[in-house]
Amino acid sequence: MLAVGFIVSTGALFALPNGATGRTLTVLYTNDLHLRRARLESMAALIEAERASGTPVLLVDAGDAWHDFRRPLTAVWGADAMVDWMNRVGYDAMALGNHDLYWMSDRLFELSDRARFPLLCANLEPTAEVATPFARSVVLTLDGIRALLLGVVTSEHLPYPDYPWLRYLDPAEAIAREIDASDDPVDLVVAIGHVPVDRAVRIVEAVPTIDLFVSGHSHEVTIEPVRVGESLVVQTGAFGQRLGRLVLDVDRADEGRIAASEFLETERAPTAFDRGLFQFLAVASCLIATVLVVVR
Amino acid sequence: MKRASILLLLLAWAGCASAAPHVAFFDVPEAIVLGDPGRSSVALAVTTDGWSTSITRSLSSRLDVTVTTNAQTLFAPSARLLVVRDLLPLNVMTEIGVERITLASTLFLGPVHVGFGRRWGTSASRWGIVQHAFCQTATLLLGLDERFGSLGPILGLRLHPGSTRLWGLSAIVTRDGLRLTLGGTL
Repeated sequence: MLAVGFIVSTGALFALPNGATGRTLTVLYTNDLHLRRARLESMAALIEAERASGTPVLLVDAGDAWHDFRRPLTAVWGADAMVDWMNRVGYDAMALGNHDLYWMSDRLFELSDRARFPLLCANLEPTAEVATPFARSVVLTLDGIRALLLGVVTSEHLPYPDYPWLRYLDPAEAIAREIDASDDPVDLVVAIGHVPVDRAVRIVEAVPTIDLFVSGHSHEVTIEPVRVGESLVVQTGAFGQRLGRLVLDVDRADEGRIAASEFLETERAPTAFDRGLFQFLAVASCLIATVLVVVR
Repeated sequence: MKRASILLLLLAWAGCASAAPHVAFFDVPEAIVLGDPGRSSVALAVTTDGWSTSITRSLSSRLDVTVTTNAQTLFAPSARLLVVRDLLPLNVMTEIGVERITLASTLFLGPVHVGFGRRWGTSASRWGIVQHAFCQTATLLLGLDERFGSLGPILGLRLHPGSTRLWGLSAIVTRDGLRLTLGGTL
């Protein structure tokens, strides 16, 4: 009943199929935010409104939220601010993206420690004696619904030299191994993967026990969730232009599982330009100074 | 000098490995240190001039000490200090040896590292190198160095046949000829 009331009130794209009587979970998802902050306040309001509806909400990000050198001024200070924003709106987990690894390991540890949610990656395996700034998986309980969340990352454009102690594993094998190793009975297996949609589809084909795959990296928009057997694959573009919203009937595995699916458009707001200017000038000065020492 | 070098290494040995090492081994000057106090790296190099071995010990997250032995010098100690760390993608390192000082800067752009630097004293030179780690097991190096007003190429390939990059081997061709290096982090 809760799900019915919720869907009617928000005007969702899909109607709740007849016979859906199970527990409902709203999954909100983002990917490839890339330090773009102009739309975050709008997105925070959407997330807040969703939580106010009373339905249990799972909020995840599929990676590349903390880094982007294409925006050098924001990159100076933006990662800390982005983590703080994600803490504030209550993210439950985030997958590690290849760009997030572009911070060297010391900085990534700092950011991971700052985050009040787990950073997930199951397919980068460290040598025995080295700790990692990320976990392979986490089990969350949301209003009695237990969900196993796993993260994976693409092999594309990884900064291998900066993490010589990590070994890259095939994402499907890593996820399958992690699911097998999990003793906890769960209602839902959610993979959060920084991989393109087509790669996510192949992973889901190999590991059909995945209920939902939130993908990223390719900045694609899945107009409707891609169905692979009983599993779903979604992605919501990039840069926070929209918030993905998927309402799932947790107790169904057939087509009626999707109670609602839509993208909530966000709005741009002006951002302060001068923030980080001093740090950026420090970087530029240091770079110019060292270039001059070498060249002259 | 020999006693001081041994003492320095013994003191350094007192640390213990605790965190993540930054790099496997050093075959070209790069603005990076081991970064994990107590960790060591070794490198064995063969060039047209002969061989050399070096042992590097991390004293702090910013400071390494290295002792190099080659056909000409039994002990050549040096210290490598990371002056600027994680200033966005930029690191700046200075290395002080017995008869030379090196300044190196590196921009860490994910799988691509852009480095440039200068050395004063013996083997004075300037260089710029681009490294591209195009897969888990290989890195391509391409660059130029300048000595006494003339430019020479730097071309290299670094391979990591193991499951991680903690050990590797590299072949680098410069105007001085081929330099083969085998090295890794302990």
